[in-house]
Amino acid sequence: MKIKAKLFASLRKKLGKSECELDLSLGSRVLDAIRELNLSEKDSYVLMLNGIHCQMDQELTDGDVLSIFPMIAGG
Amino acid sequence: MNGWMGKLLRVNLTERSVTEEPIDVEVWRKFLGGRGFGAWVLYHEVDHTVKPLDPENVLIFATGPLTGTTAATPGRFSVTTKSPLTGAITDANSGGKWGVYFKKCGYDALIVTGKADTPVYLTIFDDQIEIKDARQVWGKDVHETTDILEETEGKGTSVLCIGPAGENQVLIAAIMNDKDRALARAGVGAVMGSKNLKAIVAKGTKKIEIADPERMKFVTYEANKLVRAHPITSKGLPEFGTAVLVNIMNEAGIFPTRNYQDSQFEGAEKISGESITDQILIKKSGCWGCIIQCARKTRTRNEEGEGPEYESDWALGANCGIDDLEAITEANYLCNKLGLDTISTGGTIACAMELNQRGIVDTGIHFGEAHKLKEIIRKIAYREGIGAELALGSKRFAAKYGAEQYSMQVKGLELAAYDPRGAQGQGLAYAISNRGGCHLRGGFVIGPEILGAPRMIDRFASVGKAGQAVRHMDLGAAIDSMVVCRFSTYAANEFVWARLLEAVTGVPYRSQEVMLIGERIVNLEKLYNLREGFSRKDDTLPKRLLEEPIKSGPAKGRTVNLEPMLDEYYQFRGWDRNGVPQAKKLTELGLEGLING
Repeated sequence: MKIKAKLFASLRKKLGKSECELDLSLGSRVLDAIRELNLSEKDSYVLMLNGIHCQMDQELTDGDVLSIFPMIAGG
Repeated sequence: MNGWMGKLLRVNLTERSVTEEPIDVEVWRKFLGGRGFGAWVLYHEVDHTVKPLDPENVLIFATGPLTGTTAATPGRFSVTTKSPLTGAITDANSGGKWGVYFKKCGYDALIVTGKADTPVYLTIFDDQIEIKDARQVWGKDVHETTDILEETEGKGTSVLCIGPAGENQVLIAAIMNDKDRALARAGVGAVMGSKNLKAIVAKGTKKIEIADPERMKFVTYEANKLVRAHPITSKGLPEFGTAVLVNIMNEAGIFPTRNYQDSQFEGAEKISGESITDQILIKKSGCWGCIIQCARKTRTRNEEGEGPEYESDWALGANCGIDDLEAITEANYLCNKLGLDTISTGGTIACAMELNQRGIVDTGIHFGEAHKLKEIIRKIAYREGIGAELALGSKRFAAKYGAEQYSMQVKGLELAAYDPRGAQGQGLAYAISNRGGCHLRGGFVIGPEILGAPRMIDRFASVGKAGQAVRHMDLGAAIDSMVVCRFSTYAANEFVWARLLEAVTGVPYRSQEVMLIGERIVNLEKLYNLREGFSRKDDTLPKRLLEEPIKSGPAKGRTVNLEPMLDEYYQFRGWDRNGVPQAKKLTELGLEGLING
């Protein structure tokens, strides 16, 4: 299945892109996408699946959009 | 004294008198300084018979025990007054260096009352205080005024002033310091203008005494280590500035667009913190003594300046349907020069755009018209044409045309950059904020709801949000009174601040007391507003947020479920169901004897 990963803030510099498509096996979870992107699974992220916050163990489905943010704040 | 300087200044501009008095130590221990001290003075000295632009209203500039020390983010101070925009108590908080320069003159606070018969400015050089003729700077913008007064009064001074907006008593005028730092909200600049007070120039050489310097060194090291280690304060804020929030709010579907008609902006990426960093950033900067450095020195093709911060970027950008980063940035520069609150300016312009869109009144500006932004801002500051109506803020403007529902405000203060329909707790926070539609005074519940700071909670749930709001409100009120920066609380909690306060003042503060001080301040502000006639009906939100579901995106179909959260909040606070603090609570907080107590 294919999902879209969107990257923000420092993750863009780290991976040299702002978004990409990931080809993952059926039943993959958010954690698998993080590994596929070569991001450290020990770092803290704010994760959203189709705009809704999610956890590392959430299962992905074809066509999902996974937004990955480092810890950020402002206001 | 330690931490506190032990004296305050009173300036009566009507009488042109300056007096110095010792501070009431008990009051300062109970309220710390800054916003807390401001609330105490305003409650006792400005009652419901005083109108905000009357000479009898006061401006209370106050520092706190941590201002100017080595504590993380020590460059902050506040001003408190009765707001001409809302009629409620307001405090506004700023950084830069003015607060520190003023405190080093040997004073904890400056209370200005009265009205000068001609424009004046104040100079405070240690204990040499003068009221001077301001004719050479009246009419000048903030940058010109600062340059002229620095030239006149000598380099190494710090200038706080109003721009033309404040002089013209525009109800959304800010007080600016060090050119681009703002005491922004609720029309504090109009109050300064009503007093014919153009500027306050400060430079001090006094030492801030520390009760336990060795312990202070250690606790500062600990606190700074936390700030330097936390991903938000060590990376997110310094690398991308506050506008790093644009994309996350947009992805979550709570980035208010076109006066809150939509909740995702198609041009978000173009105005994001990432785009600011890539396209216009010259360098990062920060307030006096700050180790975070979240401010942005930027450059467009035409100008250089500071900003935009997240709220300004949104208010003048997405909220007006504008995705031209340079136009937003230059509009921000102009607001700084004219001395306008960017949030309320953007919110009021967005309201004017919507009234135009709906054919209610021809305001001459449509959503997305970036090229008209600067002109309408200028008109607001000088009260020209449509600007004369917009100078009163969006609530009065919309009400004039029977369209108050299109003014996105609470208690008259324009809302900030988070659509609470997709973050219920922030909806409660906007409604209960003592200064009106502010994202900080009612608690920055967006922290846990969207940013996962300190931990993620369900943003769509309404149950349990009162506790979140209260915690953020109380800690925030204490932080605003120490006075340090809210951003540091991502890394350092009340335990750290209690230790810093203890090392600086010698008073054995504990973390619970820090929270109790915050609670005391919030309650006192609430009592003030109750005396002014505010009630439960004012702790509400614009109709759009309560009744119109979000049209699309992740939060589609949501409205704010306010009433149950409000009941929970009042109960949590120990207030009755009309939001009136009860005698038991007031006694617990040491506020017995005040109204309703």
